[in-house]
Amino acid sequence: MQVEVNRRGDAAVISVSGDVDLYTSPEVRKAITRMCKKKVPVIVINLAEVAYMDSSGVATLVEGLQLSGRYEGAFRIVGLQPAVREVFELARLDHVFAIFESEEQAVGG
Amino acid sequence: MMRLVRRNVSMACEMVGFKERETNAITLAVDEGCTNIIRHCYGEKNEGLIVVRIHMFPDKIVVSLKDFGGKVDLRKLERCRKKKQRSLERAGPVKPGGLGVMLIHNVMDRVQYKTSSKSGTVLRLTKYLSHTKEAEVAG
Repeated sequence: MQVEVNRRGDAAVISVSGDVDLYTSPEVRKAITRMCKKKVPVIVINLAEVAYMDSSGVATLVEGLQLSGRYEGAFRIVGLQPAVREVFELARLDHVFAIFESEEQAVGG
Repeated sequence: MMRLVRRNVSMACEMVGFKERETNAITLAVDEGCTNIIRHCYGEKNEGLIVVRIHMFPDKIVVSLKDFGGKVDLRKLERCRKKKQRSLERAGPVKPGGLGVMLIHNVMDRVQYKTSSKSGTVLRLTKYLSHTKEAEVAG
């Protein structure tokens, strides 16, 4: 799994590729936490290259949502593949996140 | 290791006749079961044996996960699951913990634990093919 962070104006785009599970989610958490500590106004998580995510991954995103909420930052998700979207639905968390269709939209809000 | 388990469960689901969406969900449930064992039974050492058995039937799949990490507090587990479920149903504040157990219960038709302090715990997960479940209800 790989995690890449790119700054785009006020936003930080965290692009993840590979499976996100118990072993790999700490890397995603680290990147999110780093951006939240800097109080980046908009954090976009691009999951277009993630074909599988388990509850550790979902929990990591919930933590990100909470951390960014503390300083009123926006936490957005983009590029959900069907299998990953199903996990959000099964966890009944699809309505909790701001989910966008494209990175442009997510960055622009 | 988890990838290997996921791949085998996924293949078995397809052989039984589950559709892609159900196959993904069952694979996730088994993954969550393994994750809970690694996290809660084997703790910080993060190592220990998990015996995964996949039983394929014409109308269902049964996956059993056996660990050797000691007795599980089933009451506590059930309390946590119900609490999580209630919190989500009421659209209360979202917390990251307890998602795995809730996912397992949301996906599988039967979730059974057999636990003892001597031989560890067996988690048995059963999922019926949708059409057979509907037939049971109709019959």
